[in-house]
Amino acid sequence: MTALIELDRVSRTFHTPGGPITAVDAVSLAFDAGEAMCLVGESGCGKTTTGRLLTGLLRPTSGRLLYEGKDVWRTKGADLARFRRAVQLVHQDPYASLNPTRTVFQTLSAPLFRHKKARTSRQALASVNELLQRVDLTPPENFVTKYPHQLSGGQRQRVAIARALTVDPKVIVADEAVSMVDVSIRISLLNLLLALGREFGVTIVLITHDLAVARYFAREGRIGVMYLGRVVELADTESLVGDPAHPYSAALIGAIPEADPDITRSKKRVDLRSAEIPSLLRLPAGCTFHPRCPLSEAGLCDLKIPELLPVPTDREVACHVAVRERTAEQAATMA
Amino acid sequence: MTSAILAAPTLGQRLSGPWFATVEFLRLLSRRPVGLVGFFGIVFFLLLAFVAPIFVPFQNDPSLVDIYLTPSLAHPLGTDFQGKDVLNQIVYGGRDILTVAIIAALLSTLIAITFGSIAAVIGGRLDTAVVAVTDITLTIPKLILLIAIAAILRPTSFVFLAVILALLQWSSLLRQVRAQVLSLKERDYVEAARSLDLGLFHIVFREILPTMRSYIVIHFILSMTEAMYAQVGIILLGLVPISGSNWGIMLYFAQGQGALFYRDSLWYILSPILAISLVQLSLASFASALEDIFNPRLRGS
Repeated sequence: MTALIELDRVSRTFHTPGGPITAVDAVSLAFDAGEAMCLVGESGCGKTTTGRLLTGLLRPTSGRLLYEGKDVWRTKGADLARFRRAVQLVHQDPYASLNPTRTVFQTLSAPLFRHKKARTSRQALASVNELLQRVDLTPPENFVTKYPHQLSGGQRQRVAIARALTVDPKVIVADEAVSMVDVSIRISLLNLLLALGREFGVTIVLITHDLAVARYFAREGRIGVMYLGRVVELADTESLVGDPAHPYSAALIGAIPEADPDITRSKKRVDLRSAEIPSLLRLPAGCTFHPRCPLSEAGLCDLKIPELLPVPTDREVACHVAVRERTAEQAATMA
Repeated sequence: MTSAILAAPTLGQRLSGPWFATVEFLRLLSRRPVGLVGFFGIVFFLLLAFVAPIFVPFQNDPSLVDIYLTPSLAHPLGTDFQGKDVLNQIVYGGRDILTVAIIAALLSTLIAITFGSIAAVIGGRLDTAVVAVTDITLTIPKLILLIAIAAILRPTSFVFLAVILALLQWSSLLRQVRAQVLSLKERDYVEAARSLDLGLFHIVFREILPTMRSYIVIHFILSMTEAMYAQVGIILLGLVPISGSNWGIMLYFAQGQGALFYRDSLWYILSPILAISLVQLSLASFASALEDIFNPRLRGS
């Protein structure tokens, strides 16, 4: 089965006054229909750029974006418009993603009118009410005439999600969609996204810096860990959190605070050699993680860029040492 | 923080109905005496120019015995070199001047908004071309170009004059609109609109321009004052066929007939000057009050 949407060795370079920055470097990711997946990484690791590449808002410098097997950047006209509608982005900042001069009704009805899902205001109002109910803004009558500034952050984010739903998308990319709202409503927003994904078979890609959020959201799906523009580990949430293979994933998981102090104390921690993230302008040679990596081997990691390779069982890792050790382990148990 | 300030709703957005918006607007205006005076000044002159002529009969008969009378009950602003009533000419002389100013401001605003926003949104070669034309237009001294155009084309109708004035005025607003749109189009909600495939028209006229409307209104008023100055200047220089009666033509005749040298003609030459200055003053003070009212950061609690 081919993936619904796929990044095929996609790179994106930005030209800045300080020199070119490769925000995303040969990233390959495939998403199936109805899947809930998380991209995790520190700030500056290229996860937002990946999200924008995925939605087709940014053109890749190289590589292909495939939707239903077709190269999106080679399609034109109606096909391209269809792709744009099929993939929607929910932005990080709900204070910036809604137009302050437009009411909730105006915001939600514009795409309905434009794409002929409603012909009269009455039809549009019915659809808008339905959408608002779907994102738990009830009763809808209280919200249709409101301007964004009259809503709370969580309510705005729900309106933004409702707006994405107006065009019946197949994929929703939620870029840090819960990081700007109060912790108390994060879970309900995550649940809402998951429910929408299940109900309508929408693929949901959540981009976050918070592994705790990722673990909750993608508990039945996969997590991709990004570091300085590359995917370093891609695995089922269960196995990634329980047994991270890449030293960077291990460090991230070690940093999740646990509610139980006993667990926190006994938890395995990874001692990074440096807390400093290298500048994107001067990326380290070889594996970009090697200056911080506890497993780094001179002569290997600082020279050769690790590929994202499958290791037993059921995951992909971009680390020379981890791949070697895991493969050896597997061979030992088989023998 | 910046995004919170930028996202803060301006006057019109805070209120739902147009009726409430009007009430709120007048409330804010009433706290700015200068702006209020300007507002009433504009209303007064609009009534004077467009409504008063309906009720006041036009007097165009010269009367040799009444030349250069000082103000009296019969002639509140005195009479001119032909013995015609000055107040009557002031009443009838505003319509053309204001019409030309409004048409010119309307046209130049329209040109600036359309091309400025389209250039900014589409970008590429179109943007480069529009910016180049704008920069060239900006560097040419306007009055001299206006005189040259008027001398060559000899504008016979006032609408034609308005079009010429508009063609000379759009450039500075265009640059500002373009700059604003360039920054606004990076906003998340514009990106969302692109992603929802709402079309260029929707993005420009529904998402971007409404957030700039205060800005546009203020510029419209200011370009009216500019159009009035240019217009009166060009009439005074005699570069348009002198016919009918307006404040500029009154000035032209006053100067041509040597009104500057007769003491009794003071009222004749001063009346149109005062009318023009008062309109300008009203427009300018109203515009500056609007700037305060539309700007939530400058607005007092």
